[in-house]
Amino acid sequence: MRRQASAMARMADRQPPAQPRQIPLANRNRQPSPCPPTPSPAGALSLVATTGRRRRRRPPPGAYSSFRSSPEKSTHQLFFSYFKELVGKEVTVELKNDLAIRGTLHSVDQYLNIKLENTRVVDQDKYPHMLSVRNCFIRGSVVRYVLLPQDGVDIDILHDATRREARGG
Amino acid sequence: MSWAAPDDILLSTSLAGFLDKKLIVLLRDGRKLLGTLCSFDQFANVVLQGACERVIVGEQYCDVPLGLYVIRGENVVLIGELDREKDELPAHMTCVSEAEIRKAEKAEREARDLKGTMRKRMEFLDFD
Repeated sequence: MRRQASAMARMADRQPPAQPRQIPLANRNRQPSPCPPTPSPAGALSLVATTGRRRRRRPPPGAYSSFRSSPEKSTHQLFFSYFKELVGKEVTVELKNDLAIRGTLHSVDQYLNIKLENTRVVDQDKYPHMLSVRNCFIRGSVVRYVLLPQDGVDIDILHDATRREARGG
Repeated sequence: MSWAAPDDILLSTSLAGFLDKKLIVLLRDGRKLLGTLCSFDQFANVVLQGACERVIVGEQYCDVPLGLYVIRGENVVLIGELDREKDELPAHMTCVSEAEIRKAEKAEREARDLKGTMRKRMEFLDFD
């Protein structure tokens, strides 16, 4: 969870978007590990130095792996993980000010802030100022509902994860 | 903490993608501010350059210039990217002066308050 916040802070300080991986300060003087480094998006930073064995790696993003084997202590990650699984699906977000927006879920963060793409407002005539908005960022604190597609929800996984969180947390 | 994995960057909800873009920010009190995003932080505090408030009353609207604005994140409802190629407002809306829109705004607010008090009186009578 801290990683997300500092990732965001890093993005705030640094230059815009398409940065390849930044080396955290702690890693900068490490020697490269014997195993080949994982390819970074822009191929640039080959200084990518880490000793994978010493660090606790996040589980790879597989189906529901973030649900099943969350290594952190219970820090209320359940819905965050759930929304991460829904990225790419079409959802309708209803806000506390009654504005309802339909769009593709682009991303979500620990505060359940939501980024939607390809958005359309449900009652367009009532909200003329939203006419040309196609991408938006919605603060998590103002969301009333997130309406999900009927077929997009696997209830059993959610049940299991909830039971686990209730037990472990 | 290891480096940001690709999925962190892709899944990021950061506003970095909106930097230097023309945005509309909806606030909790119903205001609509337009401007260019200069800066932001993890609380969604936002700095807008060339900000103006778009006041819309019925079919009339007006853009009131405000200058450089810092918006506290707790008041932010939504930040939307305005598509330059599309019309920001429906064509039938008319642009009016600030004085006129403020008058219209006041009239609308009074009508809404009146409706509110009427309803409260009816509720007291407990019709439903």
